Amino acid sequence: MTDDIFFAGIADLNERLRKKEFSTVELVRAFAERLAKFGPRYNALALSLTEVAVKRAKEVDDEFKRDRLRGPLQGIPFGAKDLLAFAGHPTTWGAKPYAAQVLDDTATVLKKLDKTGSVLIGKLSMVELAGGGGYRTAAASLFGPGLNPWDVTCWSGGSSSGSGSAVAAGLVPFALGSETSGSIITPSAFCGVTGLRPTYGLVSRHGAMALSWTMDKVGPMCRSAEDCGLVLQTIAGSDSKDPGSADKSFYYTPQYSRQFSDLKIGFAPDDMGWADAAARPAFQAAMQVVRDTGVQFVEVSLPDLPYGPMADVIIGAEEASVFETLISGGKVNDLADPSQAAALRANLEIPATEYLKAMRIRSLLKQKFRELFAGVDVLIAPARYQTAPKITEPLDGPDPVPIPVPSSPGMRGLIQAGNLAGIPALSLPCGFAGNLPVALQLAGPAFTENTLLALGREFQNRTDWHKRRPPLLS
Amino acid sequence: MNGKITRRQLAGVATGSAVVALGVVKVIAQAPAAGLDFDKAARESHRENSGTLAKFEIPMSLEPAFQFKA
Repeated sequence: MTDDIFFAGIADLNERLRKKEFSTVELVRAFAERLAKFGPRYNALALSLTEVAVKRAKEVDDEFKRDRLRGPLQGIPFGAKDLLAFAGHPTTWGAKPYAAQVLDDTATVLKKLDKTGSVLIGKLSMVELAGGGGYRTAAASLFGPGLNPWDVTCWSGGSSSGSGSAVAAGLVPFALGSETSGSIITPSAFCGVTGLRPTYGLVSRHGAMALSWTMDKVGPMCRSAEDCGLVLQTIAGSDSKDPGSADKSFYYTPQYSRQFSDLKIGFAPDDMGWADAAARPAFQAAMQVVRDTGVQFVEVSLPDLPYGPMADVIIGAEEASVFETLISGGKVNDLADPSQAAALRANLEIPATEYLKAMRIRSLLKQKFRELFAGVDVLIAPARYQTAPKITEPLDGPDPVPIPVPSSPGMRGLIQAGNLAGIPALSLPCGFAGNLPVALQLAGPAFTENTLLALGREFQNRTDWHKRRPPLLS
Repeated sequence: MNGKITRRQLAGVATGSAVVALGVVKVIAQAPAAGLDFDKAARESHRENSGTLAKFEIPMSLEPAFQFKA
């Protein structure tokens, strides 16, 4: 096996398995050993599952031998953010108070992937409690700061830190992450991988750590939009164990997506002014690539709503309820980031009326987004306006070089707004600023994942940013 | 532009927020450096959120997004 295997797409790997170029055991062992060797160097590995994975791979090989084909994910190794329960093995949620936690059920998404013959080779690191309470340093994790494979002095992003860096470094073909307010989009953008935040309720969260019941989503982080579609098709669907389940399935059918010439893409010109100067050329060139697909660009602005305070209050109140025992019992003080512990303590004091006010404004937000999407099909914006910060920098510090700001906020609030609205978003690598990746974000109305993926796939047919490989630590 | 205000801080103002959205990273007001009081900063952040939401007028008939579905 050559190194190319570690950066191959899902369909390619599956085809080679079916052609018997290599066995599932060989593929799984190669990835598992690579993850175990290099994962710790990026602080990406929470738990190696090589032994369990190889045992499962033998069963999958038996199925291949009997021509029991289960689809494109059969035989494909993957990693999962350590907030997903895998029965009988540690599930730490990235936090010291849960370092010894072993749960007795397996997350629905992991069961679904297992059923198709995909093989879990490791749990991947994350920001403690998926960032619950808010964190101010990259080191807010049981596993240390997530290191970016493109520059190990920089952060891999959070809270799905290990998922981002493991996919980027070719340690897993794909990974599962989760997002409450940016935790898939951010590490995907910082690490140069393709990440999909599904519509709220499309993917079961049963067996995933709860942070905010009304905002948590589980989604794929992959090498391409194509791979995201294949993984989403497997993990999506109704689940009676998830009260937020939308009772909908997803079939990846980009071939039936609308003509690009019919698509209206909403953008905010001031976004370029918000972006780092070094990243602007990449964003502008990428926007032009999207225009060249034949779509129509339409100038829009996000509804003027207090997204930040709404998200703070809704997530804050819900996470305080989820972790009430941890907070009240004092174990919260064992978190790596003292500001996070302080915020969780304070969140216990959020008044019910304030939570309800935020949820009432959220109703308004949903209505405003319906109106916005009456005029456009997709919103486009930089996924992150800056590249990954240094791991030594506080995440709430000032910009290194303050520059004049545009007159409007552009789409700066899209991550929070999109999460509050429960709509899907796709992060697409679109170039570099210096040695660090930058990415575009596509967002659309609820359950329009196929439109986003079709446009993302077309973008990736015209570019090769998603195929770039970071230098691997020797 | 006021040279003391950073783009990142202004972005927070522009979205009516103290949140930068690095995951769920919060910009805690007057972010404490070493030795400062994180509890006080967290409470101050709450007060700011509370003030912003209180000023936002909504019709009495508007119901909360319970049973949230996208």
